[in-house]
Amino acid sequence: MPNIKLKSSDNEIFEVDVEIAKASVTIKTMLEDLGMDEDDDEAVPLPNVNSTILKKVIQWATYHKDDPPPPEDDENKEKRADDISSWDADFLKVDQGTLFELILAANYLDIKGLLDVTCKTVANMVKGKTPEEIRKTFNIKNDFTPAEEEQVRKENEWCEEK
Amino acid sequence: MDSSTAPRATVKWDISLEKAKALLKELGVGFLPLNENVFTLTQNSTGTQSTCLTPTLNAISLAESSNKRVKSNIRLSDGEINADEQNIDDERCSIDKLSDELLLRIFKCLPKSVVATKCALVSKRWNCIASDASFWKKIDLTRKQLNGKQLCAALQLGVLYARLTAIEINDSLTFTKTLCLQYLDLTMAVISVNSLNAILNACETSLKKLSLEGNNIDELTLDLLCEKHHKLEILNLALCRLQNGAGSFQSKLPSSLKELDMSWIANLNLSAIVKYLPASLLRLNLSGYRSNFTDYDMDYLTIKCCNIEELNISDCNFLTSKSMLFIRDRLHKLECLNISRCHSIVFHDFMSFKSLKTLVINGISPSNTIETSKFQISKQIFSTIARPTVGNKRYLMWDVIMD
Amino acid sequence: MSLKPENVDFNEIWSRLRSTIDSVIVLSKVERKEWSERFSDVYKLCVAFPEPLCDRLYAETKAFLNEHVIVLNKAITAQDSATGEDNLLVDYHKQWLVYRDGVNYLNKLYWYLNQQHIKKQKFSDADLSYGCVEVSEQKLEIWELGLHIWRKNMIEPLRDNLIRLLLAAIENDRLGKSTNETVVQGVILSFVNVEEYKKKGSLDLYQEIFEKPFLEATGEYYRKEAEMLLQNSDCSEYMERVLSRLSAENVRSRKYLHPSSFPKVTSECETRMIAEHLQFLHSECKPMVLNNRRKDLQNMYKLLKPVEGGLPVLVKEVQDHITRIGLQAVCNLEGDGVPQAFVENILKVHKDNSNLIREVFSNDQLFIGALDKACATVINHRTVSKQPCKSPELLARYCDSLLKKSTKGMNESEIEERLSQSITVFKYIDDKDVFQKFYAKMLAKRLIHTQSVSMDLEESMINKLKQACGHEFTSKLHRMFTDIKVSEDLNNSFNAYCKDMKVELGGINFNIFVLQAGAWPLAQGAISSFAIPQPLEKCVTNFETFYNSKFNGRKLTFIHHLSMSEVKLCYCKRTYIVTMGTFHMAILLLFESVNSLTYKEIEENTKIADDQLIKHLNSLVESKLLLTSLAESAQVTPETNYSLNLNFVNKRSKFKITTVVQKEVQQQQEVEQTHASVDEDRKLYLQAAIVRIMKARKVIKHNSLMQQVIHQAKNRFTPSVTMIKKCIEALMEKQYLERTPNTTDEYSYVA
Repeated sequence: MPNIKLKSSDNEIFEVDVEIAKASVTIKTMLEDLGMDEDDDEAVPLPNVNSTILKKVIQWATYHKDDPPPPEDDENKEKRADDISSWDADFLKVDQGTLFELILAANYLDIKGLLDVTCKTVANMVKGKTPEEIRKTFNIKNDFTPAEEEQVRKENEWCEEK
Repeated sequence: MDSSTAPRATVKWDISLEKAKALLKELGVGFLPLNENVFTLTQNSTGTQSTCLTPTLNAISLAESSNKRVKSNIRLSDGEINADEQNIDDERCSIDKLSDELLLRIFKCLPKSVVATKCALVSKRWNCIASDASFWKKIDLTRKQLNGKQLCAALQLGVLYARLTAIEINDSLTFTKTLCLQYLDLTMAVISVNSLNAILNACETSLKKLSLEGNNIDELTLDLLCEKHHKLEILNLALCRLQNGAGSFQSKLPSSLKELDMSWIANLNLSAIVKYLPASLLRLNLSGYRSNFTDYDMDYLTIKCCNIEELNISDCNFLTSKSMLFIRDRLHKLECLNISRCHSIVFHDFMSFKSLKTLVINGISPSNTIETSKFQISKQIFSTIARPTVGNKRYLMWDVIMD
Repeated sequence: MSLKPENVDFNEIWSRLRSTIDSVIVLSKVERKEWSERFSDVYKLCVAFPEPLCDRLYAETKAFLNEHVIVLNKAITAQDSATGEDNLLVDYHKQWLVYRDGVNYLNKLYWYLNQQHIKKQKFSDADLSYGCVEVSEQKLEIWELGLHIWRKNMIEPLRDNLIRLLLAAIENDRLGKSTNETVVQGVILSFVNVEEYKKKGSLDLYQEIFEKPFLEATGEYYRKEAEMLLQNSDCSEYMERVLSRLSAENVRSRKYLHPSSFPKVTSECETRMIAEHLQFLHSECKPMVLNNRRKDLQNMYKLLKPVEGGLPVLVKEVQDHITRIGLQAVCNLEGDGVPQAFVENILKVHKDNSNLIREVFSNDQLFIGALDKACATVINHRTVSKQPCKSPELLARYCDSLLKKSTKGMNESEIEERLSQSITVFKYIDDKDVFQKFYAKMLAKRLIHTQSVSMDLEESMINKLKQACGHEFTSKLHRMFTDIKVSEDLNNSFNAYCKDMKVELGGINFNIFVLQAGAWPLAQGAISSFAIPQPLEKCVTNFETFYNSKFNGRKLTFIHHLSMSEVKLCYCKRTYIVTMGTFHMAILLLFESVNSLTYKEIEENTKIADDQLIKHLNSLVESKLLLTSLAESAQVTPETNYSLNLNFVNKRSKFKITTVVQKEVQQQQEVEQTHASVDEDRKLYLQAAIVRIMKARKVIKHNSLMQQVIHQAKNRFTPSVTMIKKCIEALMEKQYLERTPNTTDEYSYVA
């Protein structure tokens, strides 16, 4: 398999198997024949992905290189959050900042499998928490007035699990 | 993670031994000194690259970032918010940096109840995302006891498919927005006629499928069904109770109706209804008219609705063999016929029904003269016509998956 | 730069992006680095903080593409006005190819915008079909946008000129002048490609701006072409030319058009050159059929087949023709071999025309149907309308002639072959029951007189009939067959019985067929009384005892007039062995002790009925075994004397006396009897059918009952309506059914 080079925002070069890099639909799209002269040795610039994150992304893609392509999003199916493989769970034992950066990267690079598993990980962090605990967990400022908050609570009461 | 998985990675890193150690540590993998050769080799193969930064520099930046992570871990465990530190820590990525689409994507991994009762209360932005219509296409409020405001709020989220089976609504409904409802299942709901009519009236466009089984309905309900909901394909009015003069109902049912269940409706003027059945009907249940469904009505029915594929006329004691002749000679597409407990029908020549595949005759001992090679004689007890949920397929409401 | 939303300067990023897409859209060189970096620019704008700038990016890009295409359009127009219009197609095509690829690359660059922003906004099919939203509100993916803009700013303004030039180019092609195929096809297909992204109506533009005028022009061209051809050629030539035009136009379609147009073009050409001249073509059918002009007929078939209402006239002509030659072949047959000539002539007509239909009309079902109808007409034709059709009888006789021992010298496989062919004729026969009656009679004779050429052939023929007509049809024939086989065993066990019981039959070799009364078409009414001659008594009584011991309660009736006996004459100079009827034998046996007897004495001793006795005496006299005092053609009187011819001589020592050969009149009588019995059977069959139907339906309208009865009987015969009516009346008299009260045309079943 031929390798290609990916260049992170902090100018670090990663040499990656082309097929692994193509787990990213964005990179795959960039690599598609432009009908122009190719300078094969030139690195693909990813000026918005830093090396730490790119490294993790490559690590993930390498581990999952033989996975079947993920199924298309089905509007009629709710996603489950509890089907994360143990490797992925270990892989995502990272701090929040890295996790969110991975989400952003998976989104930009369009790696559906990684995006799914990272989103599920965040969803699991939300589960079982009160709104206040969620705010604390993610460091979110409560911009509701108490009255507003009460109104939303009331409006959504119908959905309360009994 | 098992340390043996580390060499599996085929990524070749142009980094120093030191850095590799740091990296592996970061990944939660122990460094294997034996693998030194591997790294040396890698270094050799990529050593010609000119664009890489010096290993030292990288190592520093790595060290820095791991420092920060330590800090953030502390903060997490403390659960304190330090606004100042957040500002300083510009590089750190927080959940606020995720776009609405990404947050929505995360919400979609959560049960709806969590999104509505927890996420929506976190902040204004979260509330806004939690209310996204794409999230609320389907709701299932089976057996909930709600007040009117709550139900209105729920339906106004842009729901397309609502399962409100056996729901209990105790006060009136006031909608402030039109509803996008397409499928509505109010089977056995405890809801006033006025509230029911309010829902039907608030729909922006015609419903496609509707079940009002076991509800109280009045003249207005029927008017709404005939006029406003003119694109209905499936309608279940089984066991409805007629109020306020609805018994003398006379109006044309939607001409798009394919399935209709009007069984066991007390005081229904059946002869009048039969005249207003649309020719589009494919499946029809008119069972339970013990004393007012006559051969004359069947004559009319079979002329009008000649495309019927499934017909249930069980418990209609007034029908005689004459009706069977009408059915046989006019309903050329009939595949399933239920004449359970129609004791006035003495008829044996089911072989002459050309397309018949299933015959349901509970309560009538099959006479020896019914030959069974051509079709199946079934003991099926419950009608599936127009019913939203059939058998053990609880996850389905008509053709939509609800879970 | 990072992936996080940032506050960005739109203008700065857009100007970078803009310079890249400037190059991309015209396919000029873009550095890989530049290309890849723009992906992150698009992303940056889409996630910009505080407000994403997707909409602005979309709007700017749209404006850019609009501007770009307008400029291109101006350039093309300007160039054409300078150099003359001839180059419009070439220029348009060149620019289109570049733009199409450019837009595709652009679409890749805008990947993130498409994915995250536009696809999310796209309404689901369900939303669209519910009519909740306007399609025009929808944002398009960048390639879709590009194509939309091309349509609006390029195709629409140039439309009239493009179409005019395209039509001219294709007309040139028709006239054999050279055209630039790649360009013409490319331009035409650009109308399809430019709308390809649409889920619905993606061919609308192509159809509206190109296909419609093209079909009109095509129609007009071929209308003129047809007129010109008609003036300069006869029908054969015209057909040849039209076929060649059609195939050329077909090739042309494939060269230039979208596949959805192929059938439309063909149909347009067919309308102009065939459908509009149907009258002319139809008028030519008859002579072609009459003169068997195969090539012309084949062409005619090809032309008429795709046109609505084209074929029936030709089919009718063919059918009429087959009927005509068929009738010629079978009417007015005379002489001995009528059955043979009848069957063989029909088979020839059938075979010739089957070949014709296969070779000329591609075995088209319509023509096969016509052949069937024609054959049915011929075969069921009645020379005299009041009389029953003779075909069933003739066919039965034909089979009889094949299956009867004769000296024709055909081997079994030849006979088998002919029998198979006779089934072809049999299938066309309406009155299959008549055939059955005749066939059964002849089969009975063959079996009883052991005249069959081979039992295997007999059985195979019965099986063929069974295949054609079902088990019921041949059940009687089968039973006849089994009777004969069972009788063999019966004779063996009778002989064994005689041995066991030490019964002496007086040296008589006794052989008997036991036949079931119902299965055999033997007219029992014609049996004459008969006193069994004493030497035979023993055989008969012993057999009756034997048979009754074996099958208790069965009644045996001896059919003496069909029995045969072998008699050895020992009173002449030579010994003769004569095969003769039992009646003959009974008469001759009287002369054991005397040499001369009167008619009265013979009659008293044999008890044979007058007419039979005279007949048999006559044949004995004719064979010279007896001499009579009676002058020729004088009436027999009781005193007429018969004496044994003691000087009898015959060249052969073994010979046969047959009963007087049936006279024409008798044969005619037999035929009439057969038809009468067929009618009886039919009535019974119809009544049974009516009862069956009524039992199932309980109540039925008259017409419906008629139809069902006719349908049920179809396989055996075509019942006449009067006969069915009579049967219904008979059944009402017998109270099987009644008219439903208060109706005129409905019957109910009386259980």
